[in-house]
Amino acid sequence: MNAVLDAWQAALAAEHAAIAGYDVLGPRLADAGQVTLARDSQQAHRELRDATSARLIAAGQSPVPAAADYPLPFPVTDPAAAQRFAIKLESACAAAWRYLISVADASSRSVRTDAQQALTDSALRAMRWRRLVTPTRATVAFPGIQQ
Amino acid sequence: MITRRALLGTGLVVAAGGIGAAVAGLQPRRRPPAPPAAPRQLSDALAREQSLVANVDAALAARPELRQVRDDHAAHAAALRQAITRYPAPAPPLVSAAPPSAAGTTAQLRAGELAAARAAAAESAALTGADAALLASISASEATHAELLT
Repeated sequence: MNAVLDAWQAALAAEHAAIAGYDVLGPRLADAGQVTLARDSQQAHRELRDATSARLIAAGQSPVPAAADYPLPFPVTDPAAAQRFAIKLESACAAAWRYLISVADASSRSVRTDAQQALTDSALRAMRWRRLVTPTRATVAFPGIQQ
Repeated sequence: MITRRALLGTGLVVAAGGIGAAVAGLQPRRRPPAPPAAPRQLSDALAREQSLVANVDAALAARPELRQVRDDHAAHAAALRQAITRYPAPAPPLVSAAPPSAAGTTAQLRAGELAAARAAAAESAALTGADAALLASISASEATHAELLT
């Protein structure tokens, strides 16, 4: 059960990081449609963070808080870098939720259902960003493994 | 003539059995447990992926942009094949795999992707560990295909 709780908390931590990441990349976007995509994506992560925190509390756990700082993997100084960063954030969330599915046992059905939905949602957002960066390669075969 | 009942009465049958076992020097033989078969969900998903590859192949000439979708399905099939070979016994015969269809229009392909995403999620929910994670990832990939085909 500890492995499940650890993976669940790690998924919540990934959601915190995504919310913070969109704060960084949003102002670097120029296109109005992309700004809307960033806002909608961040809002979806906020809702998932809140729902995940509530479920962890209901399970008797203390949800991990957001970190004080999130180092950037590369400079996010222009729209192209912002788009690549968004793909990275979504891929990290997809990986965290996929990992939760891999460690959850058969009895954790509701956790697994939520994790599947979160994995799919992050895969969809990553695809929307990838369409802007690599239009001929917008999808990946294995979300949660590939970026 | 010595009847079985008579032998039972003297305890000779039991004694004979005991001698037999002692001569053999063995415990009663036990069949080795059957090796675990690959879960049916994996073989069902493999059949479905092969069907999706065929459907996209049929549409590829008119829509070359579907190449990425086709490549994803081929990768899904390869990963499922590999997952199945990790089990010592082959998967049981297919019972619930979707039959190949003649899907051709964008709407038909999209519906096929959505159905495949739902099926893979259900198969994932029925399994655990790496197999569950593989099918969960395949389901998410197919959801992205469906949106791409919108």
